[in-house]
Amino acid sequence: MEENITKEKILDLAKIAKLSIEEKDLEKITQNMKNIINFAIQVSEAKISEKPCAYVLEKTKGRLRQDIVCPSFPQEEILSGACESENGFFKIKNQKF
Amino acid sequence: MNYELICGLETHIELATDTKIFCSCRPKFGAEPNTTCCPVCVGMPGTLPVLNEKVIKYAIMMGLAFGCEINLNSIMERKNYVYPDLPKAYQISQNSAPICIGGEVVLPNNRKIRIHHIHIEEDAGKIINKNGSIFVDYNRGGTPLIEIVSEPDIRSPEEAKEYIEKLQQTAKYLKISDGRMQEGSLRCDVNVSVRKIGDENFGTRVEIKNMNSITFIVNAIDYEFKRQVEILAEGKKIAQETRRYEEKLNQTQGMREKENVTNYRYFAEPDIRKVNLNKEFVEGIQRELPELPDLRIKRYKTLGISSKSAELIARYVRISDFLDETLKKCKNPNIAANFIIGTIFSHLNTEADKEEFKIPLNSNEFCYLIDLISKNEIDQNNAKQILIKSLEKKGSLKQLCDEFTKIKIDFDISSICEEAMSLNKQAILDYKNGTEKAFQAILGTVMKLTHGKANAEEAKKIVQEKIKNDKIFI
Amino acid sequence: MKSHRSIILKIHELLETKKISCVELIKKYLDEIKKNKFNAYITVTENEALNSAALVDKKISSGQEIKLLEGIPVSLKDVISTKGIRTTCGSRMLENYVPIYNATCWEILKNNGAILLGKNNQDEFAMGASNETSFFGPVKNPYDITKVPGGSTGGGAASVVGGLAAFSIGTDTGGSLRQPASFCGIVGLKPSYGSVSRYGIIPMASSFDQAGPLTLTVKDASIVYDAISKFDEKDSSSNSQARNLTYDSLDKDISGIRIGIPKEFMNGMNSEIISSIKNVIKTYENLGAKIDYFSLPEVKYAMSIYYVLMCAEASSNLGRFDGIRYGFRPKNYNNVEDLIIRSRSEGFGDEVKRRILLGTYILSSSYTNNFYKKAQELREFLTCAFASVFEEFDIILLPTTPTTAFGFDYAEDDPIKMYLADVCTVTANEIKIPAISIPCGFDKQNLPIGVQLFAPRFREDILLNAAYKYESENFCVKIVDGVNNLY
Repeated sequence: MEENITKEKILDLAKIAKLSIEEKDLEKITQNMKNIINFAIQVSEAKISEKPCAYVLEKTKGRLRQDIVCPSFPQEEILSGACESENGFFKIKNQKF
Repeated sequence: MNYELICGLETHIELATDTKIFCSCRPKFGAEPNTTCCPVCVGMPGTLPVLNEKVIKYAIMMGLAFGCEINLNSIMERKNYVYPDLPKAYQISQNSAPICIGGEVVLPNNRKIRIHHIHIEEDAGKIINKNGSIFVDYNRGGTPLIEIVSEPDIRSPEEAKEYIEKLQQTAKYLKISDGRMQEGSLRCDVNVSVRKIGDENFGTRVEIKNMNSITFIVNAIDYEFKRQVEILAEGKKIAQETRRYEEKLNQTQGMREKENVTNYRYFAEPDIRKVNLNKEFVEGIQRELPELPDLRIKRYKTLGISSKSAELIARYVRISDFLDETLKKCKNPNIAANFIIGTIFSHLNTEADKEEFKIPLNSNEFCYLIDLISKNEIDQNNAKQILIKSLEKKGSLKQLCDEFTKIKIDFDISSICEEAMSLNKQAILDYKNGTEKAFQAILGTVMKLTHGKANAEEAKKIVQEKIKNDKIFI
Repeated sequence: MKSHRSIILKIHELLETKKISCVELIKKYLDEIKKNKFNAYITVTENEALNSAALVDKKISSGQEIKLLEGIPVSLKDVISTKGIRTTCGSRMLENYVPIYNATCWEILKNNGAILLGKNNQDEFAMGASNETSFFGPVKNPYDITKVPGGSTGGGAASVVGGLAAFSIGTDTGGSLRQPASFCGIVGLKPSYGSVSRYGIIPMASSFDQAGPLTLTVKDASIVYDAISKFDEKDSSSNSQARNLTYDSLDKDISGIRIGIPKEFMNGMNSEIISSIKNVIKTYENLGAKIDYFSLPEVKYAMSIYYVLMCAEASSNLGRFDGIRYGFRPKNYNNVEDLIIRSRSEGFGDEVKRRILLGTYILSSSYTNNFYKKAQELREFLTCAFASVFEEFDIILLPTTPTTAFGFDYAEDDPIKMYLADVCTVTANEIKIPAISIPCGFDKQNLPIGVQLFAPRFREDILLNAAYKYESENFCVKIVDGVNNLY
């Protein structure tokens, strides 16, 4: 089974993923992605009809934690990697949002 | 008008747990920005979420209160989208297997609004737009929310109001949230469409997001209904869009941003997956569920409490609990209810006060007072005064009662009345000549002589009797 | 080292008997690291290391006993968060990122007295099998610097075999510990999913990642595994049951052990590797093991399952890198959208972008063709299928890699060729079982060959026992450079 991957599709995906692709790279990336996507989706060819066994169904459920407070981190540490900060807030220039 | 309103609400309620949903930070309304955060809730690389058991418990409580089915195979999922207030670029939420399914909210007129489902999720941070920049505060990020999604069964703005109030009251009752809309603890996304009465299909739906005032919600629904009807009447089509409510103009407005149908790419949260639930856990929660208002009102009415009083008392879970505690020990529901509605409610001025119900007396003391009234050892008036005094912390209730009854034992009401009469000879003459209020002067003196302790009813009877039989003062 | 079968024990003895001071030892390592022959390190923590070493010496000179891991020089893959120390994931995106907290597995080692020499170079965000996608340049294989060390934990493997650390901690999502171990002729252990805490490990694929040791010997792997395999309440996937520790049962007699060889992984492989594996099989037979072959045709979907699920999870995990709270941001930007897009487009390398696109494709097409769901079902199927296999066998034996270390630009313009380097290793991550690669020989070019063992989930004790017994018969590891004359 082959998926038809077009340049438009790649640009769509890039938009969702917040990536920009330059025009000059688009052809190559589209070709690469077409191969990779078709490589990956071979799963769809598999035919299995068995239900998962007890072993899998028993698998660990997410653990629950008690509602007990621990101290939060200091503001300076939280902001330590910030692009820009002001008065304790993360600040981002935004001329057109 | 031959159109009907089709309205559904998605209500977000902030849960009043001690810690956030996936980390152990304590959420605090109004804290300095980015001071109630940790690497987990700010989404720092490498951090992992661990689910707060109380969040599950509270969600299940809400679900059970409305008759929902609890999904023992509930899973957490990632809702992927990009926005600066969402630090992980995904919100851990639920989609395909929410924790509560079905159920219904019964409105005061017995109309039923069906619930589609209830799911749990984390809240995002807050963004402030100012001077060409955005400022982000992640304090609110990670606060646990339940989202209650209704079916589009609401048919009037009034019903929307009642529906929200019911959710709010129940959440407060169960003590899972303070339900304060102004503080953002409860907010709604409103979905409105219209259709010709008799039509079976739904019209195009418009969404009005993030509303945190019942008044505005009612207004918005009203405006939106009229707007849509007008459009359809002109033969045009309703655009499926998200609108915002503009308070000053009392209108809904289209948002300038293009409406993007976001593909959220939901998938099971690999760091958590299945929520750890079993039947015994849910049954335990069911057993501990407090009796809800509707049932309490019914019960109070069978005890002879008036409908109105029952509703008023049942509105506040702590006051209702107080009444129940009292009635365990003394047998006069009506007196208890009346004092609560009357004196205690007056003392607890605001809604917040009534909800918090912090009074300096307990049910034992209250019961003591009521018993004395039942046995006629105190009249209602004096009892009221005693209660007021104790509420104002001018003495413990029991002490005040004892003082009162003690003084009563120490004086002989009959001789006090005679004394009062002898001090008010002119008043007696006036009264006999027809001036009714002259009588009050005599009673006034009786009260003065007994430091207010006399039983006014009793004194009145005695004085009248004496005047009738009076030969001396003619 | 051969006598101890452990460099950790050897160093421990040298320190305790004061044959060398900790500071001297660490200085030796730091001097070798400075030569930077293999580009194995991104950050070297010289001052911290020397200060820690001084404390160890103080302890020794005051007559106090030191723990087994105390004073042992370790390097960490740069996805492991180290508080106050730059953690880059081999990416421009995190070139200057300094975490404000420690990963649990590092915290444990730190509390045990291990000394951090620095953070290892790696494929960017652990995406790669050759350590060529790193923003900080490729790593060279110390056996042959024209060859790759494998990836994504290339820097870690090179450090260990190149005498630049006594052991290293890396991560394995589809083979990233075992494949470099195989290419570099050392031991690489991927513990069972849930054994070692993932808290603080910058994730690629959350349901596959595991941290584990890269060591010279099986005994070293055992010592480190036993130390770091602890329940962590900060990790929901952390196994809360008692662990099967490995050290005491290393030398247990394995006669009668049932070893299964999957036919599918012995076909179409490099002939030198196959012949090497066959020698391993003979060795196990001599040790009394019962060998048999089995077939599981569905393993042909293993790569496909891996790429669907791993990329889906990775694309979501990498969403948070937008330049706002941390990470790379362009010098000038106009608005939020601009910042986010440029931060990601300029901060991420090509392989990362490809996997994000694939993951986005998988997740956004779940309404039409549900590849994700299909891959999940297949994953569950494989898990069950192997559970049945493990009823017949105690250990599964197969090659680690289809080739020995290849040259740079091996995959040139063909990413899929690189992906296939993991064909023998991904299954273990998918079904969450423990797996180890141990050196078993060399090819004609004198490049190392590794053999891989699988055991049932949480049975690292059986796994390391089997590995240790083989190593006893064929101890073929050596430190080819760096600090290699102390042992």
